[in-house]
Amino acid sequence: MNFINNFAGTGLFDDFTLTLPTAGSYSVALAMGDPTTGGAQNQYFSLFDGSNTTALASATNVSTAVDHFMDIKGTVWNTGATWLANNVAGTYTFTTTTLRLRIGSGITSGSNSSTIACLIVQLLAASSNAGPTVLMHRRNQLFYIPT
Amino acid sequence: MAFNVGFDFRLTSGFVTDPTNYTYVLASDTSSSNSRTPVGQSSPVSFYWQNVGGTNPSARDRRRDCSMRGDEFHQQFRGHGPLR
Repeated sequence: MNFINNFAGTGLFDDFTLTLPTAGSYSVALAMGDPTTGGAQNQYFSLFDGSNTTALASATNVSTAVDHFMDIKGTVWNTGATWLANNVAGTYTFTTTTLRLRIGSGITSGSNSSTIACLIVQLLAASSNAGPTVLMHRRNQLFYIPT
Repeated sequence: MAFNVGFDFRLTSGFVTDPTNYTYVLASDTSSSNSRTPVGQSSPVSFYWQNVGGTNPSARDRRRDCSMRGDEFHQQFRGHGPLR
């Protein structure tokens, strides 16, 4: 797993940045937790579409006991097997080709760490606006159809 | 166009062998030019950890990270069925 301490300080986050093949609708599954003895953690994450600042999904200070995993909806499942059987992936529309998953509390008084074990991203449908701009030629005039 | 990729976040690349459609992410993957081809796929995927504020992520290898869950986490990729 990769992690950042929640007490690292104000403004301290790490963004997992993934280039998507196209804008469109994606299924995103997430497992955040720590299976190790002593691995009780507190999970913070936000999922963003490119540089947009409004999160598509987020969780703040969700406690995960040892060997418990939180899904992207913020539900905590005991053991990875239970996570697999029950976790709920989210469906999100990306208008850009950048998925940005931020972990960490960004505060100085947080507890434990935000720990990411697994992320699964699946394209469900490309945006209908993802095609090239269409040009029409009429009487020597060019018309641009916005995409 | 298909895109179906799982990312296993861990400390060392060789800790486990990734199954089909998976690749690994290290805490040291902090270059914006970083890319890696998931197992069984032909095209690389570009990803990296973007340091926001001065601290890179840390990492550990854990026996129950998703890379270890050949009969658990990875089941959902069989047949490319819908994710739960």
